[in-house]
Amino acid sequence: MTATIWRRRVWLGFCYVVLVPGAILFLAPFAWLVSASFQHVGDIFSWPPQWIPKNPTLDGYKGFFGIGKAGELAQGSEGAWRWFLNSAFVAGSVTTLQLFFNSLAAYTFAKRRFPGRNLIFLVFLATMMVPPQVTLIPNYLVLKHVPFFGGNDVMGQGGHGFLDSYWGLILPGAVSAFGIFLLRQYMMSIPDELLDAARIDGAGEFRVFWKVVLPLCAPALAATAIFTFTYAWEDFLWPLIVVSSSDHYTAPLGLALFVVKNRTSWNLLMAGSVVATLPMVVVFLIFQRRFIQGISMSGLKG
Amino acid sequence: MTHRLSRRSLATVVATTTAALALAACSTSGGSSTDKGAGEGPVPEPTSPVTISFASWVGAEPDMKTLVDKFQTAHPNIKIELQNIPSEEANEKLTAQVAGGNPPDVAFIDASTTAQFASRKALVNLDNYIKRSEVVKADAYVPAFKTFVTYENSMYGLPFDGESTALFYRTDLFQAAGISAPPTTWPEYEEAARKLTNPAKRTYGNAMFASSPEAAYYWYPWLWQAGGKLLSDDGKQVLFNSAEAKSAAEFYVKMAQYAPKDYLNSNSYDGRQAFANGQVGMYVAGSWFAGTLGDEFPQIDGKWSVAPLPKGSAGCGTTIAGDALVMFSQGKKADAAWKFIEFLSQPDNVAQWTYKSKAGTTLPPISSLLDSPDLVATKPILKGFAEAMPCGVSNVVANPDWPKIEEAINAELAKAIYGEQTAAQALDNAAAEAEKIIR
Amino acid sequence: MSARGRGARNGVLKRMWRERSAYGFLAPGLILFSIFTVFALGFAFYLTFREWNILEPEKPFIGLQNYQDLVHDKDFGRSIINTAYFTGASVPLGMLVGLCVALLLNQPIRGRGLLRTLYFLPTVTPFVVAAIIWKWLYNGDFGLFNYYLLKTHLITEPLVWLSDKNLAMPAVVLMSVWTSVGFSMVVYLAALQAIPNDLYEAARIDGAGAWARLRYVTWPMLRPSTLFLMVMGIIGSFQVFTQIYIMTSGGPLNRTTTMVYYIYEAAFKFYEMGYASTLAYALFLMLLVFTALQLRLYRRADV
Repeated sequence: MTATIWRRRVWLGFCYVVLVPGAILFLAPFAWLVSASFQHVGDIFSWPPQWIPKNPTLDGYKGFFGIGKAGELAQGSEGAWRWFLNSAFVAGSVTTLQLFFNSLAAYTFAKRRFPGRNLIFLVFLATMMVPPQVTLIPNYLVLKHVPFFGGNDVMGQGGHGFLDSYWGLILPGAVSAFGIFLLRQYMMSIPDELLDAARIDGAGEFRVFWKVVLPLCAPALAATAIFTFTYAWEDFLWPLIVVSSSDHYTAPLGLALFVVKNRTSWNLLMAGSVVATLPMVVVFLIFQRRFIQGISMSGLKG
Repeated sequence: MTHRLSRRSLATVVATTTAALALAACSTSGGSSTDKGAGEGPVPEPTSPVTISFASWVGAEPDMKTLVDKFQTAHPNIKIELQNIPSEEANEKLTAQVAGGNPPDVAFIDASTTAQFASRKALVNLDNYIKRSEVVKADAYVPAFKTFVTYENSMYGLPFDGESTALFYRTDLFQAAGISAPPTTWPEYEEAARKLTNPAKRTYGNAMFASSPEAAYYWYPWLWQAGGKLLSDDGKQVLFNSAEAKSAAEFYVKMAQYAPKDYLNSNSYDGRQAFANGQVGMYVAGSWFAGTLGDEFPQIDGKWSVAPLPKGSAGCGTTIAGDALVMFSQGKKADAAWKFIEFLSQPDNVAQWTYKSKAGTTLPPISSLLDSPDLVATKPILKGFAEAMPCGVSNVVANPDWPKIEEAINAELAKAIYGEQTAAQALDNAAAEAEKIIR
Repeated sequence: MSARGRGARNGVLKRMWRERSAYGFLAPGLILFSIFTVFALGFAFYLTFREWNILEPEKPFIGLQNYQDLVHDKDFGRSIINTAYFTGASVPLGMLVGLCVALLLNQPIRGRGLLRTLYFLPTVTPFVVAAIIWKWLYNGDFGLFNYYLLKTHLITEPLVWLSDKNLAMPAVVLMSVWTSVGFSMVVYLAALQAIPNDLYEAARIDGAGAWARLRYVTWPMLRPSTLFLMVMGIIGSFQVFTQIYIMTSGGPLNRTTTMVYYIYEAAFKFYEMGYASTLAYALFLMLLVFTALQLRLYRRADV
């Protein structure tokens, strides 16, 4: 056996020795959540914590989805299915819109030279610098006065605008400075020669973006998709102020209803949290496959 | 961290032209609250269908659903639209709605925040309606609960449920420590705490919180027992650094040595685990705690009991809390909204919502219900809490700046609990701060 | 205006016209951002000269009173120090751990997808649940941290972490790093894919060892992502709120009161929206300057 193969084995062994204990530490809280979701309320906070439920039960899940006897006893369960459909629709739409709009803007910032580029970029970033605690009320006012929506007239008066609608949940999230920045940084490493070659062949700017740049950005688009979906799915503060009727409730908002002052329905909350986490895990699993070293860009430079 | 941030980047966007309009709209919103409900005789039933929005965090509770259904059957022209808000964020949501000129018609709120909303003219003054009502009587309410919803001698809310504070104790730990009965005086309380404390065995006498708002909130009962007061009745004069108050604060701060340090920066809900695990033997809390223990910790059933708080030099004293029903002054359907809260406030409905509710351990804020034998027969655990009510004092003060003053008391008492100053210094510092705030 | 000035201006306009499609590409973002941000910023700025108890319709003009209060506000000063502490500790730590995990998980090892998912889990675990667990871990008498620290004789007395004046912030930082590793891991993993294999081949031929390849090939190629993580990390941790709200409520004795937590209290506990807006403006300006500096420094280094 040669020395290189041995070195390789030692290196891989080292990877596992470092990664596996770390992974357990990262997994533990989630594992506890899953375990707690199968326990009776009275067992969840027993000491020491039960990692494997002694008296496993599905009551939390049944209660959460309003199935059977446990469902009748549980509070506020009727809408759970609806919450998830709403969240899936909102998060799915937001992710699709953002992948397109963010990459378009990111391409412009990364590969175009135009007056005001740096300033506009800083303005985009500035949108993330005001804490939401202060923008909450101004944003509420803007939403309420969007013209032509929700019974409003041209002046934005008379109705409720975007409040309590899918528009209000989706449209404000159609672009994010965060996603633009992430993609811009990635696109900067794409060699300009490639783009110039396409331009010389007579491709317009949009075509260069769509046919040349985008296909090279798969890993970064995957990362953007993971984050965008996760944020949109977990988002709480925005739906809280936009939505009033339970028809438009999203999953995090619905889950928060179980956290009642001094009277939290822990078993339903735990079960609901597990269910609410799964779509994000699935999305992660799908997109992380795009992180495969060095196939996309090899041979472009040098 | 970074991902918290991006939630708000999503929360970022819609029409420049609307900006000016929105400004204009919010400066014209808000209306007069005193003329609502003027008139004679019973409030008329609406002649055409009306929808009333009802914001609360209890809209999904079976008892509330039953009450709403009953109301809609009796009043076919009024439809109740339940808006459920998470309890932790109810304040933000309601505030945004009031500021946006778009509040619900009726809301279920923490009674102690009523004065805050009322002093800013956000609520309907209910005096006119109460005068006309045959069901709701102002003097039927327990006076201590009524103080929560009273602002400048008018009622701005109807108390809907309540609780008093009592002493929970672990009977098993008391027995092991050789304590025969729960303490009834301050010295007995300290004696019991001392006997229960053994850091080597990880057991302590009581729980102590040096966080906001718990540090001040759990000092108040001792303050009442010592005969102290927070502010003068007009809310203009600071009274909480009197000699009585200082004696209460000294005793209170002294008890920190019998408390696990772990929970100093926690709160009375999270601290429930210290009581359930047998870490602390005594726990001062409201009647909600009985419900929590029953729900979440059945393994200690039979190992705990409740007693009235010990008496101080001025006798008994306990802090009360509760929830209230309010109507927003920007609402345009005041009459129908009143019909709804009047219905909910009927004594039999209040009973259904409080002690007759399956899971609930709250007290009815109506005197006749509180004193009825039915209460103890239905929920024996509430006996001590109901009996403590004559000693009940509300910690709410008629001063819009009160939250800031309370925060000062909190911060200073917390420093004393952490040993950075004496209890007397804490009160003097807080009083100096309060005088600046009151000006 | 001199002829030269006019000429330069015409040049800019000409260039703007030539690159007009660039503005078209940015339009959706510009439109959406400007509506909300411009209004929110404008409204907040207007409020810095007002006293507004949110619930009241009136917003009386009070001149520069809010700014004067801000300058003399010791608690706000304290919150800036706390925030700087949090940022200085959590941002580099989260990036470093994320980079290490990403480098290891970029290796062709078995179970890679599963391991990546495990490291990403904290990012999707609901905060309420994470807080419950971490409070257990930090418990003085029963917590796992103390159990192992005592067992290995690293400490002789149990630590009370979240209730200790000096340990509360490190405890919050540790928890935040745990939640943010998945984030920097994903960003670095994506960036690692952009490094052409040829570069490594060339380095190998030149006789560069693993460390040299990391130092002279990988690290420089990761610089754009490092800038991204740093800017985002600083903006994010300057606005840290949820961890504080759930884990410590700003205590003990204000040792973990961060700027946004303080702003939140001013706005929704004391209903002082005018003052809260003034505080938010201070935060906004700090971040703006910080971010502009970082971008400039990096641009000079040609990234």
